[in-house]
Amino acid sequence: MRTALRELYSGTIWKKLIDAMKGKKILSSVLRKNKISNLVKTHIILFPEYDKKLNYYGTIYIDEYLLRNAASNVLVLYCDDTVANLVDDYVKAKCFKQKVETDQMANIISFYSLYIFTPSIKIISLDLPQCRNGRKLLSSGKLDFEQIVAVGIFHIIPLRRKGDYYEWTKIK
Amino acid sequence: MDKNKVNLFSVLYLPSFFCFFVYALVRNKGRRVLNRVRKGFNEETKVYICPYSGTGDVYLAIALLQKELETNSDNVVVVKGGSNKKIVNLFGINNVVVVNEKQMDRLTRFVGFLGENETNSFLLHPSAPQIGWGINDMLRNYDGINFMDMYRYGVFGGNTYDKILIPQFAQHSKLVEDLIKKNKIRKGKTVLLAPHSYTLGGLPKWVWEKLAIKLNDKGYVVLTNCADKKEEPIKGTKGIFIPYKDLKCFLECSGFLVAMRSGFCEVVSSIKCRKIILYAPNIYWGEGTCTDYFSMKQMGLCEDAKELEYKGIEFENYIDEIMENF
Repeated sequence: MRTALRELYSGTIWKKLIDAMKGKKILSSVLRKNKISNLVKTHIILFPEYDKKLNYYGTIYIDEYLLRNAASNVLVLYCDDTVANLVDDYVKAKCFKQKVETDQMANIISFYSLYIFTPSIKIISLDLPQCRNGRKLLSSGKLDFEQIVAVGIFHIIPLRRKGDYYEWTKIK
Repeated sequence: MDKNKVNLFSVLYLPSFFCFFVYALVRNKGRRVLNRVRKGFNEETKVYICPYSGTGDVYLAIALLQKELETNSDNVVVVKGGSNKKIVNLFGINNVVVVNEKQMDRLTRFVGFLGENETNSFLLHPSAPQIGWGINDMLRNYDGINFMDMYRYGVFGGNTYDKILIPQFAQHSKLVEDLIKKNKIRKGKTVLLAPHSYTLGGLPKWVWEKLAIKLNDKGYVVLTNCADKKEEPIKGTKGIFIPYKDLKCFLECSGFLVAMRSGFCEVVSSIKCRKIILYAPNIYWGEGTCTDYFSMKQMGLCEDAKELEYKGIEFENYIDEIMENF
């Protein structure tokens, strides 16, 4: 324990732990504010990115994901305001939405990477948490965003494609 | 007690200082493993970690590593198990540290927490199973993504040479010469059976026994590759163990290999001999079968392998199909 505390002052680990602590505090206040006490029926989806295409595909598959995992509610935390509109348009399940700042979202992800507090969480990002490598697989040219999000992140197998991002941008 | 309730309790009710305890009691063990790995190397040494101990996974990761190593000449590779160390050594990499399963789990989770850049390390797996938030493994076989693609793109992002590195097998081996004399191996008329496969399916024992009888009747000497005492030789054949580095000498002399698809097939893929690789049907990996994902021809590992998949339980027909190659 003593050696661990000594090594903490190496800087990087200390900063990461502080971030994780902050992330835990934010997450705790979000769960209390929305009165969520059951992470089996309620799943958490984090939208840390500002990529509209990624967020679009991350939203349109939420209902299918909840159906396949026997969950009825979803807590959506987002940084980009577009996600709030997307959720209103496409998510039929009972949804708790909350906007968080970019650094707050990073802290929540730091906490998750320290301690996987629930399996009922999905992070709509190709690169976060660290070592995810989702963007690397895109370089093969064989897969598209929709597959990586629906199959890779949400584990929706078999996949029946739902939406067309370019059609959605025209409607918008 | 329900694990979900315990985890939610820790998030809602324990103070934030709880994070320090999680680090000190759990993640810190991974930091100690990393420090142990780095002992004897300088701080700039990049640590390449093979978190999964599959022979084929380690082989592909190291075979594709060449371009990455050219920019990081100070490096060390961490693997689980002594046999994987021998795979890495085959490619001329001698800075190898062997850890056990627990140590590898702790090390991988520590790197997942802190990050690859922060730890100056590189995880050589598309979705390290210890980490829990990887996404690449789910995409097997989608739009033709095979095992080679998963490593070439999912690990290295395409930053590899088109041709993979070939291992440096021994050109001469006294052990193989002794084996040849002791087992009366006939050049070009000996078949090595490799029936043991731990990830993909196998064949019933009697199928291998019948195959061995038919090969014997045709004048072939039949031997079984046995990596350790747990692997029993097929009845009617003799069990032999050939170190990885001597496989080229042995197989180029013997002439034939009949193997259940396994990591062993990756190791022998570059060796010139008649290779008959067997696949079990109806084992699905993502959107396709294991044949789609692991086909050595489609992976570009070797052009000369004969790849056969049996149908249902038609093992008699399968034996006849194998025998057509002799």
